[in-house]
Amino acid sequence: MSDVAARFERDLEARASGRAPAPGGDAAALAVAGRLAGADLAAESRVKESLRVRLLARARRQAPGCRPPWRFRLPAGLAGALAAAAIVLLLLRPRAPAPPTLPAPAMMVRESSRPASRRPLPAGAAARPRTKRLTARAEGVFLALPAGSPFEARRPVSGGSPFMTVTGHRTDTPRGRAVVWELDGATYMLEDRSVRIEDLFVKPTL
Amino acid sequence: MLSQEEKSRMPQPDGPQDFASIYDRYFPRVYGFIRSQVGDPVEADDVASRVFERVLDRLASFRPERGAFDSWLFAIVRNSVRDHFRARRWRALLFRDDAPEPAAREPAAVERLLADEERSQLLRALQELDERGREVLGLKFQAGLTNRQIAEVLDLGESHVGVLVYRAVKKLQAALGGPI
Repeated sequence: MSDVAARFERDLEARASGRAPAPGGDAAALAVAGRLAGADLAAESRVKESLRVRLLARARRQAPGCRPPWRFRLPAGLAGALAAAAIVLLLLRPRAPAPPTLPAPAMMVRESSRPASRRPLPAGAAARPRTKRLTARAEGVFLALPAGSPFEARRPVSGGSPFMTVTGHRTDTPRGRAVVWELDGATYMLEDRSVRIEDLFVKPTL
Repeated sequence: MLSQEEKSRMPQPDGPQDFASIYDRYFPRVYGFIRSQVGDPVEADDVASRVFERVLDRLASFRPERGAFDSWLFAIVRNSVRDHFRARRWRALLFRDDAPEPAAREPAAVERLLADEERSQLLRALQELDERGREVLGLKFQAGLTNRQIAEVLDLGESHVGVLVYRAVKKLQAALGGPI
């Protein structure tokens, strides 16, 4: 096979230099090779000119005279090592201790909106917590409360201002930042979550 | 007059004018090779764009003493074509509706895209070859490399390349419907 191939190569070279191949060669194979070599496949390109313009503009920008003095190229290995070191430093950066947080999936609500001072407490009831934790399963943006839960809207004390100022603190939850504050022995949390459109709407599919 | 070997050992290009001369000189050969491998002309344009971007980025790293410019260039071209096929396989795996078949395998698409029936026939026949055969034919007859340069690009022996070229030509002949 290698003899035939070598002969074919010699015939190809002869034809490429304008000489006639020696008789007895594989004329059909030479014709196929000639067809393939003569096919101008590059004529199909639709980007040849636009690519040339774009790349030459880039080449001019990259030319040594056009390069700003503060731009220099680091060796590839050094650049990679610096990038890796930066990532490691970011990962090892000490974080500020997070303030104590409440369990995120739970929602704290007051059991009653009436001021405690108006309700006579039975003996021994002082230690009873005045708030009830409603465990709620997180479902996307909203928390699902059990049906019939004793949640009441907080109304202002009669004669008082409907607004009040409380002091809270910022904290981090697994789902984002939150502000936690306490009021009348109950803890409240306002979460700041990123919401996607898919969390709010269901895309119907047939 | 410079020999083919001397021509291919070009001095290291420096500056946009050199890149322009490289582009003008090599684009037909580079694109011809890519087109002989990639079935779809639009995809071939994408691959050619990536090739010349890489060439521009890496031109400063070319060292004439390490080898011929043609071998260096077509090693980049070959790797870009392989990257293209690898990416297409991944796309086909990830997105099942992304048709993995190149358009040129569909005769009707070729007829629409290629006005030249001769080119159309050749491209269809090339798609019937195995990857190696298509590669050596593209490097030999579209890129215009010598067997020695093909051997450098493919990391094979020169005589082995001669055998591969001859076999691939015979397969192409059969695919074109001619007598073997």
